[in-house]
Amino acid sequence: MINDGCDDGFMVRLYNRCMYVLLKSITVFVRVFVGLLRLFGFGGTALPGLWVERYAPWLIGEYAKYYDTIVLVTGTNGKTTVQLALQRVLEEDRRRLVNNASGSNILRGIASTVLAAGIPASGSVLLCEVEEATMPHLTRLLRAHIIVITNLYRDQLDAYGELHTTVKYLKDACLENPDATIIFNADDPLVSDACTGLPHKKQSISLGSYASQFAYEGSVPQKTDVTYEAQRIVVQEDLAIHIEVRDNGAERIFEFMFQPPGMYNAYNALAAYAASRALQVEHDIVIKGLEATRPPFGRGERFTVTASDPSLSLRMFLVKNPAGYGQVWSLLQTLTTPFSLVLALNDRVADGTDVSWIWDIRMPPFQSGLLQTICCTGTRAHDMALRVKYEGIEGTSFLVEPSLEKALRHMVYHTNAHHPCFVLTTYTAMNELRRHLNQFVAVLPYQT
Amino acid sequence: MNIYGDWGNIVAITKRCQWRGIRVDYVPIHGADDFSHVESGDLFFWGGGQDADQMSVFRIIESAKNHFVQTITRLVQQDKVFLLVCGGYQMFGRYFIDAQGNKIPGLGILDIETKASGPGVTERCIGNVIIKTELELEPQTIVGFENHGGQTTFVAGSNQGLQPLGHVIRGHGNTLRGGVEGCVFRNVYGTYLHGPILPKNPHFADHLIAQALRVKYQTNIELAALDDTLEWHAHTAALKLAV
Repeated sequence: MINDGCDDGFMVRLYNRCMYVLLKSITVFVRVFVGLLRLFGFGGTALPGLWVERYAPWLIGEYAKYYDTIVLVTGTNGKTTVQLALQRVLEEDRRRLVNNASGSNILRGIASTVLAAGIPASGSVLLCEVEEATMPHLTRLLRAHIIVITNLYRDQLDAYGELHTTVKYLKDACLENPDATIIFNADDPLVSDACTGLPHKKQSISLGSYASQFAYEGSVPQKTDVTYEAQRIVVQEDLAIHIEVRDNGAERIFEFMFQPPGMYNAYNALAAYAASRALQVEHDIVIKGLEATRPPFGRGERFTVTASDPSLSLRMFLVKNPAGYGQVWSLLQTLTTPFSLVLALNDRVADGTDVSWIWDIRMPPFQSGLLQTICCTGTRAHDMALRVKYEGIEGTSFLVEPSLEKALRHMVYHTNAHHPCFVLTTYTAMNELRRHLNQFVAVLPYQT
Repeated sequence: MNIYGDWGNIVAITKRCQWRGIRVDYVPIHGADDFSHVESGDLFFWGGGQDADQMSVFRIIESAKNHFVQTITRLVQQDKVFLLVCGGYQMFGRYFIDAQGNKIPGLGILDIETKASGPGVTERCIGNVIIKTELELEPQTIVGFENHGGQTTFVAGSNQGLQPLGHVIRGHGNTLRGGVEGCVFRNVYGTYLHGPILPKNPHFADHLIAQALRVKYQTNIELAALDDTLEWHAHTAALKLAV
């Protein structure tokens, strides 16, 4: 018997050793391959991820075994903000971290992330934001320690099918990793219902009395024991939020500032707080990390356009679904000084080819006198213009200009630059707008 | 039932009436129990839903069937205007045949039947659509976006005299390759077009309003012209969209 045990141990060690060498070699090969591609001016850096996704997805699991802790963030909106806030906290805590900061959150993107990182140093954390439909595939490959579920909204119906299916994806995914701690949004009926039945260790977040401002799908959630509950949220003049939170486990109250703008980011801040605490980061360090978090790419990111006189302050919001759009809209409704709006709507595959969803946005008119120029742009500028017209939203001037470049030019040179400009844009329109911003004006990323 | 931006149809009808000083009372109907106000309606909208919602509506219909069907049949006979989009359109038909081949009875008001995509047809009909309609509309084009698995056909041998809403210029329509889209029976207009259909097709929206007024007041009513510049820009832009 003892001999058998030794032999098993030996076989396991041998297997592990071989796998280690294989993984090392793959990483070296991938680096050389990608390096060569780059050297000869090919893009193609996503190719290794694609290969792994198609031919050897199990490799993701093999690399994942070398991580001390694995955190997955999923849900319709807020994945990227939670990921970046967590990243900031873990940096503050001096943890070794590998994450898909590029936001490529389907299997091939995660494969690329772990391939590029290779075999991580011991004690490393793997942090990934994961698209909902990818979750069950991924959790079959690896064992997550923490799963964060932000919310579930209708998003690009043509891509995902139906919300009921998405709920099932997430449940299946969680059941694949029964040891994971699940951190979920208790205010979202769909998420809350899906999670309450699960046998996992759970923590939940809630915005308490502020939750009623969010138009969740489904009926009122059953009240679960909320772990972290916001008691007071104040949106500042620069749209940053000040949050006062009650920690029901430790029975204490704490507060902090979070730069990503708008009430809805309180959810992301709380989710990041809960995940950080579950990762054993000390309270003070978590707060330091959260307060240092800047609005990520397209999430209220600030630009100062110096080509106009005076410099135009521009903030860019990526909007992909009615819920997210409505949240940014209600954020704009807290403004008390004049502003201009650019609504950019494209209908390419990455945006969703069906633009019907814009009619599901809750976009009540603004207090009169605040809205200056309103400019509808993008391949579906006219659809957006109709949406605005039928809602009765009126500014001092109204422009419909399908060309993103011309629209931007108009905002920079022909509107009153004393007023800030808010850009609400779909994905491909955002990328194009950023290119134009860089091309014809000096753009200084906002510094505090 | 209403997802998929079809809310925009209600907004379009409401605004286009209000802009002309026509009062609109919007009454949402949430189920068969809610059916009491229906008789006083002039224009009805029934949108689509996710499959699960749609199945539960089929069940509600089943349980309240007689009363429900009788009422709607009467309204249809009175020439009340119905705009049915996607799921609503399917439900007015005789049957919905699900992927397992089960025949689920619909309201049976239109002589159409819908087969879920399944072994025979696996593709969904998805994309921008342009149709040319036989209705007296100027221009004759109607634009929209379709996204449906269900394949809808007119029941052979029906004497209902169903007409398609239009002939497909681009896109699919009722079936993957049938060439026709939607159906018209009296003042019932069934269609797969989202977009939503009415804001970008102001002539069609006004047609529905005019019909509803004509039936209500038993006289032809000329609608006041509106400034539809933006609407026609959007319509024209949709005609030019890449497939």
